[in-house]
Amino acid sequence: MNRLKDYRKDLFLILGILIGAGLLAGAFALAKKPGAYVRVEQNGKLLAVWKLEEDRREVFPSESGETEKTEDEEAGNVLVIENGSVHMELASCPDKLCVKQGTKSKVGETIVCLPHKLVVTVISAEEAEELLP
Amino acid sequence: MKVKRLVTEAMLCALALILSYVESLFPLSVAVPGVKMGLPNLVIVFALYRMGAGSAARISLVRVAVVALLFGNIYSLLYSLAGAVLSLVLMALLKNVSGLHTAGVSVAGAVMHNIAQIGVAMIILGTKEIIYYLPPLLISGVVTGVAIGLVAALLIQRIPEKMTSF
Repeated sequence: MNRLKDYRKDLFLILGILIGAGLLAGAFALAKKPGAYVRVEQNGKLLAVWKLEEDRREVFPSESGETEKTEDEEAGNVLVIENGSVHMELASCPDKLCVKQGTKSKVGETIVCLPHKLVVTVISAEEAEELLP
Repeated sequence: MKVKRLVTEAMLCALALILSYVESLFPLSVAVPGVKMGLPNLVIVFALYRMGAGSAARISLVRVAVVALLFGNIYSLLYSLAGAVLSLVLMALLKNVSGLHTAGVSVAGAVMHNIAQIGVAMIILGTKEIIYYLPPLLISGVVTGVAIGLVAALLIQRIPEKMTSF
């Protein structure tokens, strides 16, 4: 390995990217407010808007309509709202990234299931008012 | 195009394809979509330094097309095409910056790849909130980019000159 000094420019570049990532993360964290509603979209289409206060458990078939087996029922995804936050309980996709994304409750936080093109977003009361009839 | 160059490109492309497959066998289990090792970039960085941007571009594009045909769909094709093209353009530009090594170039390529994929995801899913995944992706891009860049440097140094003299 060459001396570290030779890698000065590479280190600057890396440091710059890391600082950029930190600033972005900080800005995103500061901008977050507690959410009021959950918006569910599949393939860009609005499926539902639900209150975070009301506990519920919903099943979404995967987009193609095929009902793949999850652990306890036939579904694409199982979404759970409880204690003022939302999480994906089950998913029939192989990677289960949406389940691993955990519990969300702040405005703008999302749970994304790429295989089923399902996007769950926590939104504010104002945003929900525009969507609800 | 000389036959030897064509054959070498085809061979490296096959190697990149295998690395794509190997990568899909060991998904990094993180809660952020898009985090991956970027093994195929090893081949692309090697080709970029030893065979030029044209060869690297041909290898990369054929790899993306074949991966999409074998394992993917139209959406995964869009993701990987955007990532591959933008990251290669950036790497080809940065390669000419004196003082930058494969580590830095590969990091820039990895990060650009992630940014491009977030951009495509925002367009396809129509959800701007996906940008919240960018900071962790930038960090993972730096980590995998450095690793790939350092290994690529060894390959560039050690693989016999005659393999890539056309």
